[in-house]
Amino acid sequence: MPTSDSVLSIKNLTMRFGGILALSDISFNVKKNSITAMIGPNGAGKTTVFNCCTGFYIATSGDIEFESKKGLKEIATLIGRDFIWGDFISPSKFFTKLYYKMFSGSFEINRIGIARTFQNVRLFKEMTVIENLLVAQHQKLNWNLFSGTFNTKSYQKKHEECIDQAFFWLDKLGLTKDAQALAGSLAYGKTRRLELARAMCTSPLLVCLDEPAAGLNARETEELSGIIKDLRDEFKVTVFLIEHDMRMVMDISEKIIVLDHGEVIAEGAPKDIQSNQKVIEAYLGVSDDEL
Amino acid sequence: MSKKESYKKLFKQTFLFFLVTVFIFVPLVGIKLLGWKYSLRIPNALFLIFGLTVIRFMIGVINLTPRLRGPFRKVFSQVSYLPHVAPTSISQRKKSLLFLVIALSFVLPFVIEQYWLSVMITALIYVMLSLGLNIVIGFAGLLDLGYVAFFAVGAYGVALLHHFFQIDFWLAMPIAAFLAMLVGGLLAFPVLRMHGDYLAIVTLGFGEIIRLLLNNWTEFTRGPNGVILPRPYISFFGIPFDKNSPNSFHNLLGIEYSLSHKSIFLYLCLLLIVIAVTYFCLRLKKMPLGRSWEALREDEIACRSMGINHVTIKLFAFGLGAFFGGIGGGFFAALTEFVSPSSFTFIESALVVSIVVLGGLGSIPGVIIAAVVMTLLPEVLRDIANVRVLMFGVVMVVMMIWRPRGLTRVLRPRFNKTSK
Ligand SMILES: Nc1ncnc2c1ncn2[C@@H]1O[C@H](COP(=O)(O)OP(=O)(O)OP(=O)(O)O)[C@@H](O)[C@H]1O
Ligand SMILES: [Mg+2]
Repeated sequence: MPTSDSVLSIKNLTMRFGGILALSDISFNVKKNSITAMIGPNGAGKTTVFNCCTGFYIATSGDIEFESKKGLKEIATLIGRDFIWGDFISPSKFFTKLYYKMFSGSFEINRIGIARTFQNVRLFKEMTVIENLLVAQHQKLNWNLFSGTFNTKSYQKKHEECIDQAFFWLDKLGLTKDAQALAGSLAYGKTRRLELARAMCTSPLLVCLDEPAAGLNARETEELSGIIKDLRDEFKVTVFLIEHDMRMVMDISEKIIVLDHGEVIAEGAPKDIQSNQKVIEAYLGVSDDEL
Repeated sequence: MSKKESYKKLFKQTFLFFLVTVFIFVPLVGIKLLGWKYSLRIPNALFLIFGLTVIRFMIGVINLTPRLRGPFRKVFSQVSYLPHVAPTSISQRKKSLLFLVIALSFVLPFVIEQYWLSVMITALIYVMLSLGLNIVIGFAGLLDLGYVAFFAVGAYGVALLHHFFQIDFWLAMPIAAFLAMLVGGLLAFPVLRMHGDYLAIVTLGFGEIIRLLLNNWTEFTRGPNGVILPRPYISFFGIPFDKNSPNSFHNLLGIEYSLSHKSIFLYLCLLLIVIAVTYFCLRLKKMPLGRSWEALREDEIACRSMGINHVTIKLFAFGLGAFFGGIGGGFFAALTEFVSPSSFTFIESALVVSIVVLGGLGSIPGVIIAAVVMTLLPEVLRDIANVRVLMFGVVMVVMMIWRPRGLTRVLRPRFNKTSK
């Protein structure tokens, strides 16, 4: 139940795609400055939860509340929910909805402090690694066309700060050597790390990682676990991740949420999850064979 | 395969090639229709057929001779088309080359004759249009097939502002450009949610709407008759280029009257603007706006997850592209001193799109070179007017085989860590 120290709280979230019920009435919280993992078999609806949290889908019903720097925000409201009949008799409701529908969108979600990575890596392939990170820092830059064209002192200063910030993250993720390479030419493991660096460059409060270790070898996964722990301890961000690699999940997460057929079947500390009969039946039993 | 066999094969291929050319060129070039009658011009056709056959044969021979094949392949093989990252510093040679080109383009109007001068002005107008469309297609990745609409708004803006209010070019041109920008923004609204093919079709329709409007709204635009501007229309910031008025340009300077003064002035003004726009476009790549456009082209979803407002930056792309198109249109009106809807057909849009694609989407030097080549080529080929369009097509096909991603490779800026 909603507690004051949670950064993200999902309340009775339901998502329906035509006849498919992808999420049915799920509720859980993500504690501030924690690492929370979401696991579950394929098609359980994990990515759908992420898409709702990051504003790519508008939930059929339910609320997702996020504790941003500017106060508590409800994700779907921020993007602009669909009109319902009641709105047409209440002008204030109508105009706020209209306002959000016109001028807001999924991009607002990042601005309030939620960054994400994608299950199938989405980089700006024909731009260099460093440019990828500069795109992410657009909010810190001066958008004025004049100062940009004439490269004024203040413009230059901000730009250099962003470049340094980008190099900081490249260094952190061991990509410094590839700074000037095209993102599309990177090895797979590096693209995953670059995507994480790019998400971090937007200075988020909460970062949602969709299967960050997919396709990485054992050593790379180990490194990634270290980095994710650093994100929490050193940079004070909350990490919310989806992962199939059970060893990694059990190792790093404080809390695990298990999803199956769009329902939360268990949630709790790694130890409890490991011994939970329902989870073993639905998910872990299968996954043990893979390990 | 032995040498003999491969030559045999080459002869067979050449013969087939010969048959195909006969099939194409005898009806196309060899017969000229004159109403109901026709005249035969077989020598012309034979010249082409044998010329092409010999070229085909030579290529085959080169391919079969190991000593020639190497260098030939080097020139004509597809180059790696991925963008490359800028070197740490611009080489001295490139700098001096750039300087030379700019210096030459300033000297040019004083040495060439009037006809070529107006061709060069047209070329600059196309450079302007291509740079504008490069923002929309090359940077933001929005396939816009109705770009001519903004060109038309710019040209008609200038012409009608003079027609109704006698506003001078130097005031009318910026107004018309802003008007084009506004129209660009208006177009962008309905197409914000569209991608790829759908976007192309809607913009295509938009271009036609503007043309039809110009054609049919006769009270306002004078319809197909067009709008005639006074001659000379453009003035040296208020000083006319008239032959007879006492305080006109040549009298004030005490030089002989010449028709080319006006054109030289127009050329130089346009050149300065083109250079400024080029610099701006080059800077854009290093500015957050330009970078966001390129990110939008690469992946819109990732862009949104980075907090980039894809709606406004799309609007900006259409608006800014249209703005440059409007400037180009304004100068077009000043050059021809007459605008009519027939100058703003779909073929113009297609030409500008092909310039941008041939130059290399997003590559500014490539787009400029392509624009100049594509406007000069038809003029150079005027002597062989019969096959001009054909040559044009051949050049395009060859380009797309040889350099599918355009004339020049896209250059990515390099950002180095600041030393602290
Ligand atoms: N845009 C959509 N339209 C229709 N159905 C969808 C859409 N997105 C997801 N679904 C459906 O919702 C269900 C959950 O999908 P989701 O991608 O969330 O699974 P997942 O838990 O992320 O699986 P995986 O482990 O394979 O990534 C699936 O049945 C999927 O077909
Ligand atoms: Mg998924």
